Amino acid sequence: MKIELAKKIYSKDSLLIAAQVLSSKLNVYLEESKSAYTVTIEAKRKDVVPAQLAALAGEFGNELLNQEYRFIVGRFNSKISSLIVTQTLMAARGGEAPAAPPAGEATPEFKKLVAELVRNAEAEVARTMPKKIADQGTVLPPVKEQDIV
Amino acid sequence: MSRLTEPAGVLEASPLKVAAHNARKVGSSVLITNDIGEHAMLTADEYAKYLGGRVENGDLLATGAAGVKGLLQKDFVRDQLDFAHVADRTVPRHLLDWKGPNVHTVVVTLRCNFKCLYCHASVVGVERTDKDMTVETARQVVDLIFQSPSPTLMIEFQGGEPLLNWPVVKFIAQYAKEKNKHHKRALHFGLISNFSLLDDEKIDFLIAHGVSFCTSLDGPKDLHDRNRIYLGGNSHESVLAGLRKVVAKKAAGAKTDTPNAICTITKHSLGRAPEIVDQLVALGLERIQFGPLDPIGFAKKSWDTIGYSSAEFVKFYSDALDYIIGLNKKGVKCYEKMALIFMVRILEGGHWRFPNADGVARLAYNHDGSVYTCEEGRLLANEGDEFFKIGHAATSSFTDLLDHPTVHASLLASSASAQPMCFQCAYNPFCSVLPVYNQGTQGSVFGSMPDNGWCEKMMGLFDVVFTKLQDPEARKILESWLEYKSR
Repeated sequence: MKIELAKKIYSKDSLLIAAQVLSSKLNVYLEESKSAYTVTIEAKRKDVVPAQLAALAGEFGNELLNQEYRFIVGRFNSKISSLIVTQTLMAARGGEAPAAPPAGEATPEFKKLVAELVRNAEAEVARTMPKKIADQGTVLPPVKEQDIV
Repeated sequence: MSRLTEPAGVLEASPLKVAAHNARKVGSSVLITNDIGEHAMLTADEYAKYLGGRVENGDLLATGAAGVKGLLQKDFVRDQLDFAHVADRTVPRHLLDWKGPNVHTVVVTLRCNFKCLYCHASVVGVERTDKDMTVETARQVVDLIFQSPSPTLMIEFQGGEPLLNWPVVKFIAQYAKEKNKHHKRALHFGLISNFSLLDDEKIDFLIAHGVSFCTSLDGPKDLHDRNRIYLGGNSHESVLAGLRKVVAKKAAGAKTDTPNAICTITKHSLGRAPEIVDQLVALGLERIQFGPLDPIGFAKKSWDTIGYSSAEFVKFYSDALDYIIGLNKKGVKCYEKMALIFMVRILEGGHWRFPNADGVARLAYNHDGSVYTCEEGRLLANEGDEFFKIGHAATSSFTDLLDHPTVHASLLASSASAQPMCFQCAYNPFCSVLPVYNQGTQGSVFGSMPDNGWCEKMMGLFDVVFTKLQDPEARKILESWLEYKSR
């Protein structure tokens, strides 16, 4: 399916981002002339019917609008957004000079105490827990209600 | 689209009199809000008068009545803005002095003895000890947690079922308390458990170490057991037994909070709000907390069986809130957690700009030491999307985590001022964007609000709450719930 988009309205950045967001569902090919982009959309699944492809193209169009709108909002509010993010990150790390770890943690007494806690916990694991098995890989699939009697 | 907010310019606005605001029709009224978090509920005539610039000094609409602020005091009138007041309100709202992540979810095991229909937690069977956190990893996680400069630290034990790896739960509590003798933070712990393995010895240890208790109770027996299947016994009875034990210890003088029970809402819960609330109230629990399902993680795969639309959840919530308010009118002491959060934001302005500030306000640690911006980010990773994985407890420093591009992207995405639709929404000062939901359902942290389920749900919930606030009796009850906010 091909869609023609006027360059006056849509930016290349928005097209690329929209294509990336939907990259799990669509292959998007881009060509351009002086005044327009021509976007060719292919579904990644091979069994889609034309109505489904049209729906996917609609989804791409919505995402494209979303990205174009984000650029407008971003330009409008970029200063306050940047200020908020910078302030947040700086404060979250404890300011320009984060506090050093407390000296008490470096003492032999504290290290001895931690070693004892670790030893006790590992002994309790060995004493009370089922035998540790080798890594078995992925987790269980989700339970489905129809599987439950 | 109906969810889009009513633009302020529907009627021609007077440029000198009308300050920047967003508006939305709620019932027959018009809600207006501004960037400093003030709101006013106007009739259609009052709104037309305001937009026409005909709000004058001496007018009740402008100056308010006894105890009620008018549009002037709320800084809705442009040529009479109190800039000192605007600045005082703006700085803390937008540039809150962040202190570093304070909520740390530690998944001590993926093993679980339950098989819940909606389980977000990507669990494995009880024999899979390969999915337990080791003592060494637990030590590294605690060390990383204390690198956060936050003066308050909350360590939440999660799973799987965390009590299946009891020695590591104990170790984390003991080690963190020892470290805290030097760090001197306000240190809290929370256990999120199905309570099936909760015996007196464990309860006593947990209470002695200041651990609060939280479980899941989905309502009456048939509903709870249908959602939460216990492989080794009676699911409903086991959670009730655990709750009763903790309540009894508290009644006997133990220094612990009343346990909390979160009620996860599935398709089977819809239409049963009164029964669910009655179950919780009968146990002496004052806090009613509903956990709506989101179509991410494992719940996404079971969505056809247990999921519902945002509108269905909003209807359930509205019925439940009506019922809880009705109980309050009869003298029953109870409150609904989400409504309390909304009241703090709406009535007190107590709202940080990024309540879901993944990475800078909260972090999650998987059993293998992997670090995620939040618990939901870890769940997405279990489904193969590792976008929110930002480091490892063995190799990452705290500043490494904050410097991760995902944290920066999540922060930008959390900012309503950078979100299309959100920045024009009347609920913007009270709402929150959830980047992990956007990523899980729409493939981008920024998401697309016009067809975003989280946005639809939040707007519906705010419609419900603002509608209730227009009823004087209901408003008085909702305001009274603010007394619970410090609990």
